[in-house]
Amino acid sequence: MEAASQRIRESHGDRLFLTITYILIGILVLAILYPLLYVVSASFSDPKLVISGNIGLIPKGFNLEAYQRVFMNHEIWIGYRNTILYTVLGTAVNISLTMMGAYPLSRRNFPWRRSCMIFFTITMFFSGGIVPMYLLVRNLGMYNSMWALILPTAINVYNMIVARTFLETTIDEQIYESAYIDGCSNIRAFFSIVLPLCAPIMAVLVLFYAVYHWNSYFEAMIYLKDRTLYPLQLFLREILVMNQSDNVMMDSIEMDTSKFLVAEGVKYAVIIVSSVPILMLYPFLQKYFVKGMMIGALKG
Amino acid sequence: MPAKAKAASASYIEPARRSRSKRLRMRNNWDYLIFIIPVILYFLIFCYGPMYGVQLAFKRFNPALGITASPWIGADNFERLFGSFQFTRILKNTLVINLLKTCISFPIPIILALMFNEIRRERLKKTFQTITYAPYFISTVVFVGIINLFLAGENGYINNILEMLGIAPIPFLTSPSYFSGVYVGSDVWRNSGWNSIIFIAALSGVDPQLHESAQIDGASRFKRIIHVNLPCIMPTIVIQFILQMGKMMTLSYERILLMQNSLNIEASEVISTYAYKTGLINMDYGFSTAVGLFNNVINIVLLLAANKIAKRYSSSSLF
Amino acid sequence: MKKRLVLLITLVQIASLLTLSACGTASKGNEGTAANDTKAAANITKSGMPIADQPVHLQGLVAKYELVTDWNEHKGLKDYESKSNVIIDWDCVPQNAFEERRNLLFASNDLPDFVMRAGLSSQQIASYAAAGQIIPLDELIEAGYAPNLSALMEADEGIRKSITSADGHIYSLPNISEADGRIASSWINKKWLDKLGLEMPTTMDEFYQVLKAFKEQDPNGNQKADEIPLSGYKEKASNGNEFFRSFYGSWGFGGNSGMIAPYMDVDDNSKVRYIATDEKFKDMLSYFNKLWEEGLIDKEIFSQDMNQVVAKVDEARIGYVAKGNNNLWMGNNRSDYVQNPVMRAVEGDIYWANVSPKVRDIGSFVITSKNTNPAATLRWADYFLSEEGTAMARLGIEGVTYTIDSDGFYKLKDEYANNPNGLTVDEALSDYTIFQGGQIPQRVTQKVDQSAAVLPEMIANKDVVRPYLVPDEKLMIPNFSEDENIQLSTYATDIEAYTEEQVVKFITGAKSLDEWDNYVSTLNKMHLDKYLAIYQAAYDRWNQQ
Repeated sequence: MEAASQRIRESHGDRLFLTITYILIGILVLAILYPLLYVVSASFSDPKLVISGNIGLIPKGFNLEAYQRVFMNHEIWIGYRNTILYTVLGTAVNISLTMMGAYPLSRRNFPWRRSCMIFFTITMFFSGGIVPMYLLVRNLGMYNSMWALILPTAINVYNMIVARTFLETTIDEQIYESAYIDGCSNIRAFFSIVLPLCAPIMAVLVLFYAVYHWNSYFEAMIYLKDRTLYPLQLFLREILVMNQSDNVMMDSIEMDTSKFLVAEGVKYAVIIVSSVPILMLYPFLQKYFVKGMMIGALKG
Repeated sequence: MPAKAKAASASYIEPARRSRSKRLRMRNNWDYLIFIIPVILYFLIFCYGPMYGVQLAFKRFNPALGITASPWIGADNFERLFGSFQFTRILKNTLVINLLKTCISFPIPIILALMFNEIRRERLKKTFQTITYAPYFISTVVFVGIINLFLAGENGYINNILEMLGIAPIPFLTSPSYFSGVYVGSDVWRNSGWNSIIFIAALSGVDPQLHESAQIDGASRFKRIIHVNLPCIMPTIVIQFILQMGKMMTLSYERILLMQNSLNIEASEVISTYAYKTGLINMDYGFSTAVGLFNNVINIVLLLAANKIAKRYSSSSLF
Repeated sequence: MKKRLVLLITLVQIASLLTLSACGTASKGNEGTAANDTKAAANITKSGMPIADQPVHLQGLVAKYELVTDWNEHKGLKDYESKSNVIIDWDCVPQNAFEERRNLLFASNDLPDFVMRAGLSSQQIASYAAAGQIIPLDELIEAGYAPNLSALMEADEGIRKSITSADGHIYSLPNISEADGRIASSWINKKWLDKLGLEMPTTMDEFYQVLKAFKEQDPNGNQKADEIPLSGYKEKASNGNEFFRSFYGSWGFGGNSGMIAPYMDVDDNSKVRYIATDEKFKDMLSYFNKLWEEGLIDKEIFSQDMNQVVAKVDEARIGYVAKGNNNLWMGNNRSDYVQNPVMRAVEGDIYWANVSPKVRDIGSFVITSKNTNPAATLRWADYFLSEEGTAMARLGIEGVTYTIDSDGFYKLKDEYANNPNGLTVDEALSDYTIFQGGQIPQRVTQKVDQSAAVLPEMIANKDVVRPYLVPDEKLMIPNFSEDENIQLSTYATDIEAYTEEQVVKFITGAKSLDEWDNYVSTLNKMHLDKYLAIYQAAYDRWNQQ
């Protein structure tokens, strides 16, 4: 890939610099990795040992009970199905609208650029709050439907600004100029210039929005009524609460507290169950981040 | 630098010509409307439509009457917030934590991204990046659980190590003086990887030709980072910084509440936790709207100030 | 610039008009309920089953406890439905999402017919009642649509007192707990006492000697000084000095573990006191400060959670802990612990202060203004206050999940009490019962209670403190008027937060008790008098009813 730069001989200082960088990153990655592995290990361990803090990176008293508890609940598959649907559909809506907003905002020849920018930014700071929003969703007939999870959050201003900044800085004005000379309209310029060049930012947006949809539960919590529409996170929250040891203090007739101990493992298992699928997204998207060559080629 | 040239050419249009040229621009570029109109509609319906709710800050909410018909109470809600003996303290704590965040949590992802960019082995890079952003997915409850595990006074891992080294245990969780440090430190652990993604993407937009010519000029790796990579992602950094300033008064109450205890409350009570606790009595929508409004007015002032400064000293700004 | 502004404002106006007009149509349909009332009432019986001759359809909102099946497909409730002829379409919201949803439905006036497991505080009841969103039930009760509640109120005046709101109306049904579960416990390590040859302490001075011995004489025999004489933990969002409150009674305070308000009790002259400014309270602080300084209190008591304490109990390191109404949560070593007697610190009356009022969970059931058949709804809920109804809520269906002994005690069938598939009892009953998690109208007596609190050894533990229980007339649940609520919201947060913080500082020595006067005067500056006056008014009202 970076064949040209590799060929030029690295100086002594460069090699030292690189070594230091690698060491620093190594330390950092280890510092992050350790607690992460702990979570994984805790989800497979005997909950009693987890509570007393007696486990390390390798599961002790290996057991799968926590996972059994999670998957014993058959509704969890409904949850996966719904979450995938909402994530895919929601992200598609997000990306289209965000790019539709970011493109004109990034263009100097768009006359209302500044006013639009202000108009959008204001919404980051002033919102009517939850009650008017609920009434709106209700009156638009989106209550208890998946659209309530998709449309009200169709654009995130922050993400739109990020996208605008990227388009502004990476796509050179000259490229547009030459396109206009060829008789290209702004609409065509979007499809023939912007889209091919904005792969990295699209990847970022997909990641940001997809993760948002994947993890969100608040909208579902207030707008959905039917359990068949619930996303994964709502079911997982139920499983989590259900297994909490605080139950002993609530109105309960269970006497054998050892049964509540599983909860400790469930807490960790739920993280694995909910985040592993979405973590897999990143490596796929990452290849779009290496587009420097292409931009250079197009410019040349 | 292309960005600078752009800004320069824009400012050269004389005022008199500006409006004419604007009309001209409008006629030539009407096709942008096809893109922007659906976006404007979205904001009108879903953001500006419910905005009438802001008036609750000055009202006593009566659900049976609805928001518009609820009685006005003037600035009572604000007086309650400002009149609290805790007000100066929660304001200070909120600002201290956020300033620390700006000084520490903000630059680290940038450094991380620049370092990642130096790794040439793609597989390694991919793995490292995935690891660093994974903590973002850990739920708040477990996240705080992990913090306790590592930093607890008696059996915490860190204090165990200190004990072995013959150092007295440090009360990370139970002393007010450590709270903001622990909060921001754990924030770095959890979010740095995630926050670096945007800079990694920006770095991928750097023109390799710039690197090549710098290399021919004999610039070292470090010099190239400083003189090629950093300037190229500077617009992104500036925008991110402006947005960060616009969050100066915001802290999510969920995590702080979990990390709070009677011993560190002096440093851990912030505006959001205070509003949460006060609002609990009565489900006080008016009060929480007022707190939100107060926060956001300051946020927006800071954002505008940051934007102005950015505009003066660099080529990029929000508006 | 101006033009732009005008355009902006117009656009915003259009948008808000759009939403406002939509709101207008939504809030219609709340009238005309009174006309239907008389017609509907003719259909409703005043005793026995069915409740209605013709089926009655209702919409209910409920907080579904996570372990319980969807209330629309719940076997126990289906059984009740066919018996009662009241058919309910449930909006069944998971418990962890319920508060948001309930608040939102009320805030947007988008109401169901009634709310079950509503979890409303008396403040919320007052404000929803003031807004006219929930209806008073007294007339319906007078008319005989709540036969069980009427009978209970006849037998015990205290019940009416506790469920009557500040405006003199009854808006909700309570959870009445006559079983031992309402008495909280504290646990002292009997095994250690025996090993060290110590007597059970009966005064706080003896208690101090015992804790000192626990720390110094290695009662767990591992040759390490790893014993923690006194431990406790912080609960969810609270700050973790509950351990301290469990000793109130020893200093003669009757504050019932913060049921009224965190630092408040009622003295013998029916005066509400703020105990945190009392001189005896200062003594109490200096006592615990001594314990803290000498390392007799767990250093992590303010920051650890329950699981960490369980782990320490498991390692045989804990001497004393005040928590729970039974000791089952303490895991394997729980049988080492027994309830300690009330330990005296002052002359005069001493109490066991850790007891909740018999009548609690006020606000577990309310009927909204949208309901066209409140009589049937009230009858439906009132059934849970009968012994039969409570058994239905707690134990399921007779013959299917439980049987009744010859002495009138209820017994779960073995396949539910000891589930062969390893389910907990609460889980095994998930299709049949709704009591899990509490917050339902019910009357729990020893006869129907199946919880650990009725185990013989637990009853024996409770007997130790039973003579010292805070008398019922001091266990007030305050009901505030909407006006009082609004005033309280200005004072309460600051006063309570400040006290909480300073108390901990005094205990841990972060602040010296020399500054006591300063502390008291700061509290007075926060309008402690007004705060107390509101509580006094509420108490007087409650006491006179």
